[in-house]
Amino acid sequence: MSGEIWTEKYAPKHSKEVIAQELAIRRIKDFIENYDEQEDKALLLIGLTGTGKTCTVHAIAREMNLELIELNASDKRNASQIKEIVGSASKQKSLFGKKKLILIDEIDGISGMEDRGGIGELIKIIKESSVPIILTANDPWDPKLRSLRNYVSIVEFKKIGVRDIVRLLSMICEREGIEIDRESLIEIANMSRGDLRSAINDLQMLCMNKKKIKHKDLEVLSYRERERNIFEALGMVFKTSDAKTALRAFDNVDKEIDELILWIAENITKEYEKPEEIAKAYDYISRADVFLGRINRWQYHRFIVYANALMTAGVAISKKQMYRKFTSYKSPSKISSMFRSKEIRSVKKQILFEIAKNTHTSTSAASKFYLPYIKFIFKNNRKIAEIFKNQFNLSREEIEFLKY
Amino acid sequence: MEDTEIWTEKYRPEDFSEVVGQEEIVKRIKAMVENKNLPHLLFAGPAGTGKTTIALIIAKKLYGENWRENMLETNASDERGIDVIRNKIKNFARTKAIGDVPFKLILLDEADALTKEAQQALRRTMENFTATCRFILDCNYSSKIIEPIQSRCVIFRFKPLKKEEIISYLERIAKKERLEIEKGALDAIYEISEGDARKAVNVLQACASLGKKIKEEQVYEVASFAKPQEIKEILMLSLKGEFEKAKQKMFDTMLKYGLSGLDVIKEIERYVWNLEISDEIKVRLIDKIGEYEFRIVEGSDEFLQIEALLAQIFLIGRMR
Repeated sequence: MSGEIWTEKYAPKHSKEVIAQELAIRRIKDFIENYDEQEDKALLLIGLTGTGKTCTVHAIAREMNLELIELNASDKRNASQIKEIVGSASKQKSLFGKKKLILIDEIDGISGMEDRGGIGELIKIIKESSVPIILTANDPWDPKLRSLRNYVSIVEFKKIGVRDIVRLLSMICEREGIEIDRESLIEIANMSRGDLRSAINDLQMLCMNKKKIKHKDLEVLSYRERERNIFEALGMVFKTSDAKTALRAFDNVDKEIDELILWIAENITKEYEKPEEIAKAYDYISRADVFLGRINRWQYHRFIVYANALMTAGVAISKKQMYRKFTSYKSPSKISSMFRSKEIRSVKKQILFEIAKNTHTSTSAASKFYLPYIKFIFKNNRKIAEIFKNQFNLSREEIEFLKY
Repeated sequence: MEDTEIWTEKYRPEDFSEVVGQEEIVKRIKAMVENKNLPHLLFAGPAGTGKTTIALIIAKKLYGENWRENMLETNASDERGIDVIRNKIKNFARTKAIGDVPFKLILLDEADALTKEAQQALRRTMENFTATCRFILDCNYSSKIIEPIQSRCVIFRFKPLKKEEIISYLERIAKKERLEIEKGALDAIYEISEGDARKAVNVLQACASLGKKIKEEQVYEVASFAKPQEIKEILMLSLKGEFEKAKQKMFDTMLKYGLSGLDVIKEIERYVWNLEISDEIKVRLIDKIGEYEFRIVEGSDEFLQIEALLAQIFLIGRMR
């Protein structure tokens, strides 16, 4: 067999060949064609890995004859490097007279995006660009992306169904002259959990030096160590009294600990009913949070061990006995996820800084003497709010905070 | 900054003749400015009585259009330590004043926020730059300023403005903004302001965001917004066992009024003594509250910590 990688060999050459993402494709094409009329100057494609985000953009660029400028996380670029590359690209015309399209892949993985500054840079790039920009990300819950959402339209890439995966796999088998039964194909598809790329990779692996695949051959495939669903993980904390089990609950959950702690906090009262249990669980979780604060303060990462132990095992052992009920766990409430207190503090600080600058006062005086009245005005009078917005050069988040 | 929509700035007096109240102080300072000879000044007095305003007028009168270049405005609470302030002063004092006044002005607001040690350092800085700079120090209480500094300054004590002074100022603004203010509303604003002109103007502007006719009720609406009562209600909810509700309301209240975790903790601490629980539990609770305040100061998440504190109060309510 040839040395070519099938995921590349069979990658869609044309957007028509992309599987199960018709809506998204239409939206992307419209975005590029009518770029000047777009309200948001960038698109954010969101979807699980292997659902076709990147290859769709490639295919569209090819068929629309665009010059694609691509940046991805594995390039190890940080925000300022991106700015350099994208900045110059978005300002010059293409050499060959082609129109340009910028693709920034996996923005959740780019370094320098962890803080507000990084995202701020990216937002600036988007605002200033004269060329359509497409971003991709895996996790729609990612708190890092929150402020970005104001400046992009989101396009969702669906998980790919088993039937669609099977259809593509059998097409590949036909072309490669592979003999395989339908049950095996279905099993490969199932194991991929909607990730077409991994299904194709598994198939190619099975077909190494073989033209005939039997069901028994599938045994070498194992389920990929896949993200444990956050809800399963919460169940592991709340439904066990065994400290060690709880301790490992979030091992394979792809979320930052700062966010996980909010998920647990949100669900304490969904699971526990007795005041002693609730108070105890909160006590542990608040102490876990103290350790998280200390990580930042002392730049000592090992504190994470204690934070994790207290928020998992601590919360788990706070109950007297397990509740035999079905609990539907919830994501952190809108307000708590919209405004993480760290974020809110920086939003507030910025507002106070602006007020102080304009009123010959300190920020603490601004907080005491001006903030309540300005909030009152923001809630009651749009016209004046608009004037303040310009005078203080307020961002959308800052306005949201003032209006709340 | 000239076309600001913040009324305290828009209507901040530009000339000595526009200042309301503090007549004696104005008279003397006016004379000093006319002679272009100014000692170091220490302005002591409560908020909103004209300390910064008069300092700004001094600068404008001395330097005219160039006042911004010749005046350094800084405050002790935003700068990280006395060294930062001293460096700022050093850089500023390095160049000569523009124009015919032989010195530059340094306005240091909230000087009483400096520790005694920092004030000693400030004193030395004042001495070093006396030839080229004059200091105006603002503070609430002159007793919190060390004596060596006091003795180097002429001290002026600012008093809360009188009712007729506040009202004449408000009426001046009302005329320019075409507002109609009920008599009762004027009285109410004065009562709330307690002689603080800045507060009076801010309350007026907030009222005016509701409409051009200003009634007494609106004044109270604004006032209660600026001093929310919800924290007490939240404590009671939690004590009565409605933890979930208390939690939601706490989030909401903090965001609605822009309260920080520390604002809330302070309010809770004050209110604990009025709760109907035994003194022993009160004391234990105070101990807990102190711990949570410490955690927030140390950099923990304020929402989460306050939620956890509410859970403790919830538990106490159940054990009563």
